[in-house]
Amino acid sequence: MRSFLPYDRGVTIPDRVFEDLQTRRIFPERAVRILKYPCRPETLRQRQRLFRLLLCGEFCERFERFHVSLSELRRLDERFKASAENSVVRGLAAAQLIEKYLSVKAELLELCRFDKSDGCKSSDDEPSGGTWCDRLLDLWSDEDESIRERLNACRPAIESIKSFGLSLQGKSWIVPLPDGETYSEQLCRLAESLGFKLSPRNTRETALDSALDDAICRLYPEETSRLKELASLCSDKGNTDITAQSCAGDTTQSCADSSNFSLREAIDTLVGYIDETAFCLEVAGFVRSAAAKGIEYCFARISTEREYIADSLYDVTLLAQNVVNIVPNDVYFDESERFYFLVGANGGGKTTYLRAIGQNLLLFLCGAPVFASSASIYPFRHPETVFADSCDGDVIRERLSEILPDSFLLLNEIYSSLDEERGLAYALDCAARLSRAGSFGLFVTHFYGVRQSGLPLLETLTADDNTSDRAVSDHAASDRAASGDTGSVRTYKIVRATGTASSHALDILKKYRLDPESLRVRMKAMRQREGGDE
Amino acid sequence: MNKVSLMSRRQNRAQSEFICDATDLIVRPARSDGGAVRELLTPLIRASADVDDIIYRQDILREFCASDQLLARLNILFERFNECRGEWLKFRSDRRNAASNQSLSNYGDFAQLQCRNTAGILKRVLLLLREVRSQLGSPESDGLRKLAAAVGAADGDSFSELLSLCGQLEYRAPNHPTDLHIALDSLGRIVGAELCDHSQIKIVECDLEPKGWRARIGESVSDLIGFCRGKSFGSSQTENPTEYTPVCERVGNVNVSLYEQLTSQPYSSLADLMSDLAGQIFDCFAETKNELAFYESALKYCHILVERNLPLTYPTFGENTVIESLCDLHRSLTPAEYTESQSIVPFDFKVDAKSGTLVYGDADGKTTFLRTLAAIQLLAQSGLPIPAGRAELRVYRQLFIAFTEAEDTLSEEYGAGRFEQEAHRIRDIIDRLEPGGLVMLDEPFQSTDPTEGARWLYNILGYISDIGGQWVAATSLSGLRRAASNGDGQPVGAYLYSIAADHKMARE
Repeated sequence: MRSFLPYDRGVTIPDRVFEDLQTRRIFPERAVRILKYPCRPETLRQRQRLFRLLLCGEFCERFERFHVSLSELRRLDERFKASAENSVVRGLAAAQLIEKYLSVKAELLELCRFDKSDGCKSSDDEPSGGTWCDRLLDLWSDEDESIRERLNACRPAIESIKSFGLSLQGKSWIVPLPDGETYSEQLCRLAESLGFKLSPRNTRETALDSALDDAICRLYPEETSRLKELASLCSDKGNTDITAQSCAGDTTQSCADSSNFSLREAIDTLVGYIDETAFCLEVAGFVRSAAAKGIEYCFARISTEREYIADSLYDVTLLAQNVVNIVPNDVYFDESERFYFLVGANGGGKTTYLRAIGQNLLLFLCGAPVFASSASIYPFRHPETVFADSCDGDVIRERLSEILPDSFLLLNEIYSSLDEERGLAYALDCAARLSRAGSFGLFVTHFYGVRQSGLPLLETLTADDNTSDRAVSDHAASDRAASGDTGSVRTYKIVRATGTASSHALDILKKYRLDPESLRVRMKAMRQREGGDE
Repeated sequence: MNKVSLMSRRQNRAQSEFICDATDLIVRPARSDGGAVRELLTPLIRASADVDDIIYRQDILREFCASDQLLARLNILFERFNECRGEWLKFRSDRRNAASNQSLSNYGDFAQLQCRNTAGILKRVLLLLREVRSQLGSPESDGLRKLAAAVGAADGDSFSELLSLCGQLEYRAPNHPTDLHIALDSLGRIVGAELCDHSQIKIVECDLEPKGWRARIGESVSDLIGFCRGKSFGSSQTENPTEYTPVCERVGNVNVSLYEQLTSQPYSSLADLMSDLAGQIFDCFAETKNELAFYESALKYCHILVERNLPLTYPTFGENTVIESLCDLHRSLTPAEYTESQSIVPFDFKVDAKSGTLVYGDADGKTTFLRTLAAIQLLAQSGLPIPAGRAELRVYRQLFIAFTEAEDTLSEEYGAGRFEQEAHRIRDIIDRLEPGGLVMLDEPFQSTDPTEGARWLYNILGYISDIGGQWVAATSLSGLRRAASNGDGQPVGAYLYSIAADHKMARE
């Protein structure tokens, strides 16, 4: 069954990642079910296109209406399934279901056409290529007409069957609708002729009794038979070969086009879109509400080189805790500096930084915008988290042995239950192995001895009164006031630790990939391309 | 059928609004008469400031005077009409209370009973209206023509058909088959179940063993039985082979709750519709009985005057007031046992639009004159004739009156001096007076120095004239009389009338 969104199903992100990154604080379970399938670049581009459209007013309104229509389709489908076999109710429910199916299809095709006509102006940096709806446009184009014709052919039968006469006496009888007026109609007519206005009372809706249902079927055998055909179309056991029936004495073009189309499958497919469309609306809604609170977002560039670079990255799970001033931080992972340690004071923002990286990676991998002012991210399709509070030593060893090439590791204070000497040794050993294996990742730790590892080191910034950074100082002052702490003040900023191998100039060269390691990587890639061309 | 009023030609009553804050004082007897005059006059005082309305009422009253039987019969009919309305209100209230107490199993019977009862009430109302139409015949006055037009539909075919329908529903037997038009919605739910005539659905059960039975719409039962006996199922053996013979089907056992709903809701809906229609009819004639009561009192008033050989005239209306041979109203209406053996002396009275009227004299009679004048004005503006030879009156929107004896009561209540009380009352009148209003003052400012009293009263009367009001003042202040008769260029110009010791009134 074709999904609404394009997917790459080969890889699944483990549930523990969403647990550790607290994704469920901001998105419901059905969204997580979709987030767990990371996308490849081509799929990412298609999804980014869809989310760009959703953040544009007109398309979003249409999309919301489409989602509501899907819910209505589901409701009618449930009603159809709940109706008894071989009954009038089932036939009428089938007619309603088919009618709704056709209108939902039309809405879906309208959405696709809107996209194709670029009804919402694309941004300059939007990637070119296929769109999310290309696959949907190809799906249904011919069978609808046949179905519509079948439905229209049944309309007279539907109208006949909806009215009849009923005589309740010792035995009860049912007849075709008599020609005369009812007493109410007569009364209203006479009242009007005398200059009065009467409003007929509405009858309370009541379910049709099975005995009446059965009698109607016998009274209107031909009409009921036509409704049965409609019901068969809609049911699992129904006739899937609509073209064979419509071709009987018919010359519609669809005869030649359709093959093995099943209305039941088509309806199920559409109904199955509800979770996905809800997901899209939830993400778009979340982005808009975050933006309204001053949090920037962007569509990250899909990098072909392994990197994770972002300016002013936010941890949006803090919104669920009603945090007002979320402090963003920059992120810089590339081939030359793939793996970092992060040390610093308690409550300084280390786990928040780690979650910001992980959460935004998950959003990026599903095509959604990330919460940063700009970003360029490689699709690391195997994000992995190892949090000390969620696993013991055996689990840690097991997880770390399963590292894959496209992994991005987020390690949070593992080995913290060991004594300092052993813990530091394990941490250094772990980091060295992961780094040699070429893994990307961040290791948050309290073992300050990791400075000797030679790996890049980040630390939390503590503000004091001498700081020249006005913003940092102001934030620190407010934090000091809030905490009543007369000691060092947390800024929640993450910076490169002093005394590392990098000088200030080297930092700049790295930002523009002009440092020695980056140049080596560029050369390697170029030679690979030349070799391929030959 | 539109709302009908026998008191006003127009539906908008604002135009005819008349203000008088002393009606009770006007009809209160000057001498003891056992309350007879008050009892007679009180229901008659329904003055209007709209000349069209006044003439409208005059015409109706003339017609009733020409034929009292008409009024009596209409009174009876609308008495019964109001009784029906009371019954309908009670029935409606009881129905709401009873409905909530009915169990599902007997709600069907209850609903059928409600339908029959409502049909009965509606039928009675319709028959009453038909009788009203019959009694009215071809009336001449506008008001009764309007009433006849309102019930004119009672002569039509629709009315008869409606009566017939009500009769049919009223006498519907409890075990009568319930025949329904059923409507389903797009999801197969029953959304319409309406009662229809059984003749639309004639089911005749054949003595054969078919899969279904034949039903023929509109044919007589005997024909159908003849058709069915000995015929084989599936073939049409009718004489006219093109005749349409739809099939019918037996229905198995329907769910009890659905059965109850299908046998009760249509009756309940029908009862609601008929009740609604009855309510709308009652609204059309809601005030008619009260209005007829007014004319009944008016007729009685006229009869008294006629019996006493007093003149009776329907005033006309214009800018000025001219009354010839006006009789003392209260004496005219007082029963014989309460009157002294004095004849009623008529007098003439005239005042033009721009003048006030001063009634002067030391003797009694001024207050009686004022009261008569006030009462005459009120009666005339209520559409009634007055005891005079000829009368042309001006129509006022307001009538204010300050009687001397009223102040006697006030002074005790308020503990203030009498003069202050008078001033209070006059101030109260002046505050509300608008152009076109009439003020009557009975011996004002007697409780102060006569010279000063005359001067102040002179100013007040001048003010009333200046703002477009009119005044009639009874006084014994000579200073005021002098000012009015000298015509010394003062704002107050007045007609002067004097009342002599023999109570004769004469214009000076």
